[in-house]
Amino acid sequence: MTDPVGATFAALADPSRRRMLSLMGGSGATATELARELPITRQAVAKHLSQLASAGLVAPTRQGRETRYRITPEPLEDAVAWIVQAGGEWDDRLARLGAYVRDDRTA
Amino acid sequence: MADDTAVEREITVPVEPERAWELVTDPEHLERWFARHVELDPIPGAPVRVVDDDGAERHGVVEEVEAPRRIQFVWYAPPDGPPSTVEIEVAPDAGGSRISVTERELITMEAVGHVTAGPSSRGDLLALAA
Repeated sequence: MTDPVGATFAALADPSRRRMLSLMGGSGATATELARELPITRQAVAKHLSQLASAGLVAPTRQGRETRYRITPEPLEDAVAWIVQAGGEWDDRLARLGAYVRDDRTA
Repeated sequence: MADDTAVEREITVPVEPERAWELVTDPEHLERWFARHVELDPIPGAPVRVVDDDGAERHGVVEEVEAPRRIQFVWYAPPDGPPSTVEIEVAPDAGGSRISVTERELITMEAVGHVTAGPSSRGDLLALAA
């Protein structure tokens, strides 16, 4: 992978893939488990998983007849940390803007 | 390409778009919601300086202005925070004005544009993003 950061963001662009990562949590998940939780087919889940694996965000481990995917923390940390931090800052700013406009109108 | 490196947020405020434009470009207003101290002129090339409540600073420059509906600036936290662009758009909305914010991390855009080895790997990235 020549561009881990770009690939990480590209993999995170899709809401289904982000949701899958959050569902995996610490213990990982199989495609079947994820398909139960998401409004997409198991086949679509498997395709997303292979994209997440290509970006180095998850790593597959065999578990009996199924493959369990676990989050690999390192590439995720930088990209997600930025998204989480920048997103949180804007949530705060826009909440203050909303309050400011309300106060201004009632003043 | 999709905004795969971006944070997007929006809010609808019960004021006319002209007023909303002032809210997002006039430091007097910005200092009531955006940050404790804001230096910003809605003029391309104008310097941007923002100081948060915790003293954290960000410096930047205004890149694009389409008054009264769109302003974009680039900023970073000195000395070496990752630069990002902030685009703020104002549009009329049923409830008044919709203010949309998109912040994009620039390093990643550069990485996608320059670091990848040519068109084929870039195609792979886009396929991944699709």
